Amino acid sequence: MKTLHVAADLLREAAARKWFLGLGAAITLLLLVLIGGLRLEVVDGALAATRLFGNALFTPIRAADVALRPVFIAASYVIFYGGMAFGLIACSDFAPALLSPGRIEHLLALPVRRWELLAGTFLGVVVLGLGGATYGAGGLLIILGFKTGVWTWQPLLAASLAAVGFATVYAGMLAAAVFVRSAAVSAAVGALLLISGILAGNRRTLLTTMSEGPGRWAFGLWSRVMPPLSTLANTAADLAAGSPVAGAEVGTVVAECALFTAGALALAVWRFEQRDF
Amino acid sequence: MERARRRPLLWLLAALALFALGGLLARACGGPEEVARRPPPPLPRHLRPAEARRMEQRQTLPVPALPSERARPRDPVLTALAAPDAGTALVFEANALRNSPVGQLLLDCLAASRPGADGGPSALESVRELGVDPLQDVDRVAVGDDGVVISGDFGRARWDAVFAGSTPTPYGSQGQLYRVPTGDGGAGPVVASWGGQLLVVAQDEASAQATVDRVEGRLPVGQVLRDDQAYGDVYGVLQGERLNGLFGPADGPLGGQVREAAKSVEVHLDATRDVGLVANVKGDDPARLEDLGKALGGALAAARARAVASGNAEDAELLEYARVVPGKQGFSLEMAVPYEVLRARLAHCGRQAGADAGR
Amino acid sequence: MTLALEATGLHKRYRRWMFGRGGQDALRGLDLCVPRGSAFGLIGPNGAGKTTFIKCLLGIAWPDRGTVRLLDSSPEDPAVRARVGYLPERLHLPGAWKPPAFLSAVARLKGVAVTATQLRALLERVGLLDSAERRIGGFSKGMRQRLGLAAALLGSPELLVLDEPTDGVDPLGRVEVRRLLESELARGATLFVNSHLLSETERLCGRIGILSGGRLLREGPLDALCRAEASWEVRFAPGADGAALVAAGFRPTQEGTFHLDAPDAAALNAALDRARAAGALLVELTRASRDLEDVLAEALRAAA
Repeated sequence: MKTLHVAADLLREAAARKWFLGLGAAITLLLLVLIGGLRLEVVDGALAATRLFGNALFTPIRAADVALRPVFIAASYVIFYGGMAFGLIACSDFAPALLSPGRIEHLLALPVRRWELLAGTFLGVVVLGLGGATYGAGGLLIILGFKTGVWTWQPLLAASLAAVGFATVYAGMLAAAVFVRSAAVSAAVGALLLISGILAGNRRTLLTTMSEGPGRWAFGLWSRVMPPLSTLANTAADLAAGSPVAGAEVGTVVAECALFTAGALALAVWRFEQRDF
Repeated sequence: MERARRRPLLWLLAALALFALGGLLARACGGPEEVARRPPPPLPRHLRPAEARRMEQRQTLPVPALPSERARPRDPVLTALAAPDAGTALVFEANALRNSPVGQLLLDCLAASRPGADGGPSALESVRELGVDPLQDVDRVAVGDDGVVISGDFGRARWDAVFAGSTPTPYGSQGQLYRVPTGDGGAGPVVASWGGQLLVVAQDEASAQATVDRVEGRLPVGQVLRDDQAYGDVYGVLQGERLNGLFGPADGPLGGQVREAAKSVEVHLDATRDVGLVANVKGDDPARLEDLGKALGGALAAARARAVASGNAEDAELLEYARVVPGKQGFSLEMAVPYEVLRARLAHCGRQAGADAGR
Repeated sequence: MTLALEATGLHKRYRRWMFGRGGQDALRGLDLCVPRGSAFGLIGPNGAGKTTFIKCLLGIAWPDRGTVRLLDSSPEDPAVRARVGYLPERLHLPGAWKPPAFLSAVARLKGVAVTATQLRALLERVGLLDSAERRIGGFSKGMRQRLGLAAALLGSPELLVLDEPTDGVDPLGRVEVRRLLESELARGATLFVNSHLLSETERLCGRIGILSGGRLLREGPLDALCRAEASWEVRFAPGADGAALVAAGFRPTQEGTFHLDAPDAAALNAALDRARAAGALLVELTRASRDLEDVLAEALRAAA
């Protein structure tokens, strides 16, 4: 229960920060532009014409749901990678701020367990990421749904996978911050995890370019531990487009990311529990 | 206070165990598959370098003597088709189609359904004995307003034997005309062979002669199909009556819209592996063309919706590749069929033919 | 006698590296007991280990050896920390929040149900009611300190651990804070105060501990520590011969009295006899007392 309070306090603090106010305003502005400026003509279920502020866009005339697939795919990748890049920077100082002198002593003196503080911080940031992704994806599908008559909840599923990916990266950032109380280090670790996750998702292709030896073995071992973030992104894009995705495939990727997340959080708690402040 | 030291160690062990578990899961499940999405089937939208080289290699006709034409080598097939008032020309790259994966599928299907249970020679074998192998010697088959033009290597062809019963008449420098009689003794089509590389099947002698005259440079040449339009494995232009003739009352209001709005349709089909079709529709009335494009797009979307509703996933997937692309001077209708789908659909061909032969 | 806190053999070394051996000893075998209902002041020079000791008390830092008991329980137990109010030396406050929101958040984490009326009453106690609708980011240091004190008072804790509670507070504000803490003491709470303001500590605390170099040099009731056993304050009737009194061993003070150092009763009476022989008439004799500053200085000298 205390975990939820810590998370709620973090969200309250985030609401006052300019980063997140700016993000919310940017997403809202983009959605308003789509509402006011985008005109879609649908004929017999086909997206016949697209106009943005009166300017005709020469887009193919095809079934509306097929025509919207590239839009949902692009939005999925933007939410996944763009959201992650934004989160790396904007959320990098939540943990260092939690551990700042004067604050951490006060919190540790309260009847809150140490792991609850970390868990609450992690939960708050994940909710923040999920909220942003859901707001963007949800707003987009509602607007396009009203304009084209195509209603699908798949983009929301893709947004939730984006949140899973961000949670994985943030777990690493949180662990880094517990070891070194620095927003820059936390963000750098997050960026490294993102790159590692992209490489891990392309492990097979990369392994074929390496000759046998300790380097190949080491890369194989390390890439198996790293979360396959690029695979998760591709899976999210497939889901957003309504392409058939095997449940086992989604489950495996999510499970790998979840295990890494749990491991990073356990590492953070290990250090946090024995650290003096 | 020692308890505080021991407890954190459990977290470290848990972390290591979780990382190891993740690695084992990745190893057990074979790791993440790089999603190799099937690329969309390529569509013939413009002349590609290989096709440009092909076009240049075919420009074997010498510069014509007529001063009204630009001095440049010409493609004999396109020249044969290009009567000054010609409106339609459709060329099939038979050699390319035959050697494409799709062509192989169709040939295998044909071979499997080939009659000959009585052990006698097939029609193909009979034609080969006359010096013409349709599956090896034919390069292109073209259909125009005046008839059909077939190009290829006919140096070994014994036309006299092929058109037995017809007296050959020399025409021009390299032409031979054959008047093919009908079964009731009346006048049938006239066939002209030219230079061992062309075979023209015309409705009458005048058309055959005019075709040979164009090829040999004695008549002016129109431009029903330009050189830069010669891309794809099937390409051509349909306009006028030939175009209108494609749509009848049975095609409903959409057919009527096509007749009213479309003046010409330029068609290109690629069968390198997947089959892609692009039809560029042009007309004089932009508004009617726009409406026609929307109506076609709507029809395709409706067809797909019906396929989805009826649970026909294959047809629904095929119709996803169909779309109408508006342009400044009309629109393009694009359709595609992936090779894997064709292979799956033709897989029954040989088995069904074998079952029919067995009855 | 029940104890609010008890520390036995506390050792703490701050290592430079996580698994390193070297480092600095902050606490070297500290033993301390604080009875319930008392006000204890911990004083000492910078780097003595006062803040480290407080952190070990509350589970913010882990001692290397020794035991700590807080309200008859371990500080690791969240339930016992719910009965403690803590004001850290440098309290970080969320600048974008308002005081009621901050106090509500602390109350939730403490598991204390508090109404808006109670929050306003608490803010009034610490003198911040007029600033209740202002964002904390605009507060002065003294106002932040008051707000931190309010957070420590949430839930009427049994033990108040205050690290520099009046730091940055104006003189009149310090008086208010002292009265507030005295009211908490009267309620039955135990105070544990770490302050460099010795005068404030003297006024508030009944027991004092002097910490230096990680060791407890002196500890006990304030009056016992400040009492000067071998010193006396003497007042004579007007007209006494000052030079003769000086010769007899009396040192004049600015207040018109004389100061006499006498190690025992015999020396005291011998000096008084010499004064009377010089014609001085004894009017008042009291044992001299020292302030905490003197006590601290003496203790540090002795330790050195």
